[in-house]
Amino acid sequence: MREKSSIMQNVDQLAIGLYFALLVIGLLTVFAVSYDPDTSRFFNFSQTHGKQMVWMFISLIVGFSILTFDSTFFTKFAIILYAVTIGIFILTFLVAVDINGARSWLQVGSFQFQPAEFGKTTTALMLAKYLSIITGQARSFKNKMIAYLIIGVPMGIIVLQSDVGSALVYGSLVFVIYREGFPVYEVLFVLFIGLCFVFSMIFGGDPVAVFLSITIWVWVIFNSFKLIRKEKIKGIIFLVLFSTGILLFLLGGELLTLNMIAVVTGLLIFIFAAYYIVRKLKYFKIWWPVLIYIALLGFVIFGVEYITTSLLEDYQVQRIETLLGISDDADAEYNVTQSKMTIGSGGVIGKGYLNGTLTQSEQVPEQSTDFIFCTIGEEFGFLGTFIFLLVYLLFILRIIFIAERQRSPFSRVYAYCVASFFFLQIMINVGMTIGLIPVIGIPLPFISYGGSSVLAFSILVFILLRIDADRLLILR
Amino acid sequence: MAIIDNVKSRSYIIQGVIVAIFVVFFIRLFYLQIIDDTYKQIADDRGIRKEQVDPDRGQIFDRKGRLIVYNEPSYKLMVVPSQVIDIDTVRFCEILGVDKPFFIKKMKEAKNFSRVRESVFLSQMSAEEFGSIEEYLYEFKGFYAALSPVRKYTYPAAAHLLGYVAEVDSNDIKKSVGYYRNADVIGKSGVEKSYEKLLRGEKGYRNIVIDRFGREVGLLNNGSEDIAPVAGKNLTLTIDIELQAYAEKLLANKRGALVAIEPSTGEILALVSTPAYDPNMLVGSARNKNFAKLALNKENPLNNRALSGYYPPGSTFKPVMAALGMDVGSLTADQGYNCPGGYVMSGHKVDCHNHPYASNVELGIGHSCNAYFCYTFKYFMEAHNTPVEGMQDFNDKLAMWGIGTKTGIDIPNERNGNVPDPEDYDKVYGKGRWKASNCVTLGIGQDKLIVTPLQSANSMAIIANGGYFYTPHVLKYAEDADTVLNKFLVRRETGISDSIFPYIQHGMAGAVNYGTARIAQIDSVQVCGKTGTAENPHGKSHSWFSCFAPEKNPQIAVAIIVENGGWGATYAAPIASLITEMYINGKISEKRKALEQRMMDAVLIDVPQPKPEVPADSAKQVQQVQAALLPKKQ
Repeated sequence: MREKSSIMQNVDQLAIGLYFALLVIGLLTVFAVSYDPDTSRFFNFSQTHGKQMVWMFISLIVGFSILTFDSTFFTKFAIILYAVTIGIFILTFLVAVDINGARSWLQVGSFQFQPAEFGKTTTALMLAKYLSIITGQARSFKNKMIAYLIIGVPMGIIVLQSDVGSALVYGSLVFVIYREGFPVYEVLFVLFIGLCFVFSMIFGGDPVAVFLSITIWVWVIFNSFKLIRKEKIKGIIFLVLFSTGILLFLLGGELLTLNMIAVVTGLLIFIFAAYYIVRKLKYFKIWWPVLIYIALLGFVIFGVEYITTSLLEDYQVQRIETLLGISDDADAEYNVTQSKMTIGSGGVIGKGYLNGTLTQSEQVPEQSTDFIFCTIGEEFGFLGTFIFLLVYLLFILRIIFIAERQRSPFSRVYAYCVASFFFLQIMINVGMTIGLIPVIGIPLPFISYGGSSVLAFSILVFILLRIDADRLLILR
Repeated sequence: MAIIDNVKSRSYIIQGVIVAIFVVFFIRLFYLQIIDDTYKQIADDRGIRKEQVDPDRGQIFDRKGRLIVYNEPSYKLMVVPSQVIDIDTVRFCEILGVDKPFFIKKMKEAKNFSRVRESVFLSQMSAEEFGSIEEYLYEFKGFYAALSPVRKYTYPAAAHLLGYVAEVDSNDIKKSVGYYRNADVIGKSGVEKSYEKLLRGEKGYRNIVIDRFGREVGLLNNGSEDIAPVAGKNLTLTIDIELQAYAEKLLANKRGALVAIEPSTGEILALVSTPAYDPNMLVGSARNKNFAKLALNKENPLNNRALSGYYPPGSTFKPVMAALGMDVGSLTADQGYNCPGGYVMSGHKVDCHNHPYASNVELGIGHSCNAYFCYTFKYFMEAHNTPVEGMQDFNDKLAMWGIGTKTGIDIPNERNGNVPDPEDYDKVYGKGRWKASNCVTLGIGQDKLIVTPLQSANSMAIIANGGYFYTPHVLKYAEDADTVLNKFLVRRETGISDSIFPYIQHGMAGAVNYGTARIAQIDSVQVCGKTGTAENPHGKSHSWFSCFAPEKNPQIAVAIIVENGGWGATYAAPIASLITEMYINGKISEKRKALEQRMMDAVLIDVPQPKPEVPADSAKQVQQVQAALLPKKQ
């Protein structure tokens, strides 16, 4: 008893407070979605909000029992848990139930759950374990590859299960890799290869090429400021030449036209010309990023096309397109229009709780799961969405704050994993409802209806709170 | 340590990125919710309902341009449960002619789907049915009617060939990869199924602006974003609907099938399976009741016997056997075989009837001598090195005739028939322990030989053509889609020399002139035919007849089977010859009227032909509709 009370004292009060705040917001929002003025009562366990309440209760019981664990449990069992997770992932792939084209749900009795949700926790633990083991060692190629594989293997299986949303969330772990001091270009390169493929499938090669180009411009311009600081005149000459090149590119290519490839090539020649002018400058290194840029551009423009037309069968491409929401364009567009309309109709202060007319008339598809943000937008307006996102931002920043105060790398890495997961989940979900990101179905943590999502994210948070309570220990 | 500091500073970059993304979200939300008015204007307590507009399904015409299938307006009653307030349920049920449990069940289904979106309450009401409730509908808030065309048939005939349409099931939806949705209509059998993609057209969509109560306010952007539906293609079939209806009349109250083909093109002129049903039975509000009735009928009227009925060909196979024998050289045109009342094997005899000596192929066919074709089969087999090789060749040659394999007709659910292969006899007698004499009855179309009526008719077309055929088909042309027909324009060879067919054709003419099929004679037209009697272990033999006419430049080839009809000459030959006469002469001669009447009146089944639950439209009405619709055809 003595130990337990001391844990409760050491648990981060702000984080747990924010956690409870999110749970309550979630429950109230799910209630608002399923609300029916004739029949609804708040304590009705056969309706969605009632079931959600039961799941939240279960999550709290599981969460508080996690606080009674010894924090070394998580370091000791990280590898085993990870191995079991991979096993279940493979099993899921083989026996999964097909829901909306994705084979990522496992059915046990009448209860369906998504192993990918729980796999986030174990993958985070495993990554934390491994990175803490190799702390202090030189980062050899082999070490780095293992770290990438720890993320890549579950991610790969999830992609095979046609669940791109979850795979992207796993991809967010590159933030952690970055924080742990891996070279930036490596992290970016890994990130880009994956993103380029997915986004070229969604948008086609051209916009991705534009995106890549803009990235490299920003990078080059960023570098040239350094140059200006050191060698003023040459730096300014370079910047002027380079900016002229971009301008020519924008005018000549008209951003998205077909002769873009030709223009890009012209621009590259221009960059190299510029490079020769300034190449004797030791503060300016442009060689590597430009090569990577060319490689990625080639991959986007030719590689994706080659893979989809030559390597993959038609039906495989169609499956990829379906899961990326391309082939069903009209519907996806309709969903986003309805979603933007619902959020937009909220105005400054919203229509008031349980008064969301569009929510009530079921105008938005999947509105208790993927598009639940619409309900907040409609009923509480800009004020509501602002405060809600602020709570979430605070929650994520608090987790990063917790991460940075850890003495052991294990705890720090784990905390960063948690922050990354939450961040990407929100970015994709909210981004999609307000039309900034294509429709990729993943839940908004703690808000969307769904038992396994609430439980999995609660476990993720409570393990963090548990190891943070022992932050003075060095966990390996 | 400089490196550590550097790495630690990355924490701020990460936090910076996160904050930046959130700021982007704030800006976007500020724009969406406060600055931008476009969504607010549309969304001022309203929504958009994307409503599917069904295209008109293509109409179907016969080879002479007569309309067979068209669409008739029909209505479905929709309900939006949240708007159903204070209605007089008892009165509502009375007007609609439904009972209360039905009302409660439907409302529950609709509520389970959605409280605020429309569900189908009652589907496929005819214009009259709708007319009787239309004036009261305003009393019942939450209910409204929507148009949904149904198929109508001008002739109560060709049900199997045309097939029927029905609402999609979950399997159809899955297979179509996003095309079909609940309550869409799809062709489930016959031409409706095989040409579904041509007939269905393309769906359209309307974006309807609705207020917060789900009431229609207008069209989004005055309908500029709507997609108009594209009507399905009209099809013209090869069948002659009058001939088809005539054939069905002759075969009424019998179990059987008939296929008539134009030999020079492979075009199906008529394709009958009886007991048949009126295609109008599977339409409208009575559909489900009628479908159950047909499915439970013990004569199985839904089964298309013409393509999937399995029958031993019996004597109608003899002309084919003659062609095979002459092809390998084991039979010559002037070969005669003695018939001592049958074909005698050790301890066993294949019986034959009493007939004059068959001194050549023509007489063998003309008199339908069993012994003659047992010998023919025996020597065919012995022309090969081993029985296995012989049987294999028998299989291969018949496959070229479309026997034992699907002919490839453009109607679904065709079956293969059966030609026994060497392994089948290996199983019975042991490997290598059987020879021709174990299976001589194959030569007279028995043993394990099974054909469908379509294959039998196609064999006649081959003999009529002199050794080749075109894949039997029912589509003559489709509006703006000529390419579908290319596969039907390919001449398929049987590999048998055309020089031997005159003997066979002549033999079949003999069967009609002096042999077993004299009843099939028609004035001024030389019919070539062959009767058959398929032994039936379960009861009376099946009556077969296949024929073509005229002998020179044949216009029609027919095969018919009448189950339990006894001898080929009893029912099959008269009916086939009447159809041939009707097709070629356009009328039945006076002296054969009595025969025609006798055939129409004959009843060979216990259960009378199914009658529709709701009487089909009267002929007069049909003519009116036809007259109204025909000028619309381009």
